Amino acid sequence: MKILSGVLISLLILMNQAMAGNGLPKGIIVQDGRSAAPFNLKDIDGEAYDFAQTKGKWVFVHFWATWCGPCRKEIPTIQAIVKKFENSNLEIVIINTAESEDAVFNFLGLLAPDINPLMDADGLVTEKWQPRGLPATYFVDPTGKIRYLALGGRPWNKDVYLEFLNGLKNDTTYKAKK
Amino acid sequence: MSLNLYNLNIKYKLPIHNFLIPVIMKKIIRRVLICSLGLFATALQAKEQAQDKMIYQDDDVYLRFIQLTPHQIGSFYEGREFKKAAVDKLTASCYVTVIIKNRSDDFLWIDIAKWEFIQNGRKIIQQDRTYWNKQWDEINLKQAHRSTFNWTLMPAERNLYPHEDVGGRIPIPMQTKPFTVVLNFPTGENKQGKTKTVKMENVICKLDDNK
Repeated sequence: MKILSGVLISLLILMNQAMAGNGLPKGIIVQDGRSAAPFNLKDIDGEAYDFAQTKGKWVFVHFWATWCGPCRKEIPTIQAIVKKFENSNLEIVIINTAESEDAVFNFLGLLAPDINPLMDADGLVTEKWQPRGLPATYFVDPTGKIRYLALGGRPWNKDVYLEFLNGLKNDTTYKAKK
Repeated sequence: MSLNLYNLNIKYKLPIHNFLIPVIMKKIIRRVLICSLGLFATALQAKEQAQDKMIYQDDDVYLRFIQLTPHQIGSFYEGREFKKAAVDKLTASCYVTVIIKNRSDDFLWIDIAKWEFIQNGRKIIQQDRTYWNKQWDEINLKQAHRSTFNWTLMPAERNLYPHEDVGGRIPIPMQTKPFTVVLNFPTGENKQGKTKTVKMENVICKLDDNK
């Protein structure tokens, strides 16, 4: 009997782990929960933004540049979701790495006019976050820990990714901890 | 009797043996020929593409080398508002741009210090980030442009998750003759696996047409 229940418990644990692994869309990797580096940046309109204000929400932190090929492909898919998550429990933070306002304005005006990016003018915030390359997307939990990383560019407007993002938006796990 | 049978057979089988089968055979032969020609043409095209783009691929890794001329490199950084002194330094070097895709189900490691650039048995020294920081200090290049330049380089060392890709440039001094690049990729989560080695021969520093 003891052996049988042991086997059953092991099976349940394995199934749970397998489901947790399969539950993530392609290219989303679980992270170790290190603290997200704080920053203060200005957006393209010159408005100040403090990352600390996101505490209590899930945050989609995205680093990109106009010269990067995969970023060009990915940014319209972010444009397609920004309105969906406006004023929700999932904040979307887009950070341009080390480019001029003119370059960014011209680029976004064509491809993603709803995006108001933060300008990492000297690129130092990007370096502090140490992305694997550009583009890079991190998911920071409501306590400020990095929980997921997206490898390369992802089609964020596709159902499987929207489901993942909605899961974060509707996540109540951290409410009690606030 | 047998003759009759034979004749009968012939009469009966004529449409099959002497008409239908030859027609079917002709169709098969024609299709085989067309397929062979098609395959031959595809193989030729693939060979031409491989020569043009320098591609290596197997079950573990996909590699593509892209050659840019000094003018193309200069235009790229000028477009990012780099000053002339920086563009002059940049266009004096040669850039081996590499796209790598990890096709395996294991970790593949990029560690460009383990990559060798060889010409006639002589090692070509890579111009790493330390080299470029010295160059930028000389002309007081602003931080934003140093950052942009660094992001266009191949990461010095990092792992590639299964099916992840990465791309970037590796600067070396300008070369007038072809050279060989030996790319060594440690494998496994902690580099504990077997090192995968790919040799790319006849790599060149592409020059502008007027040079």
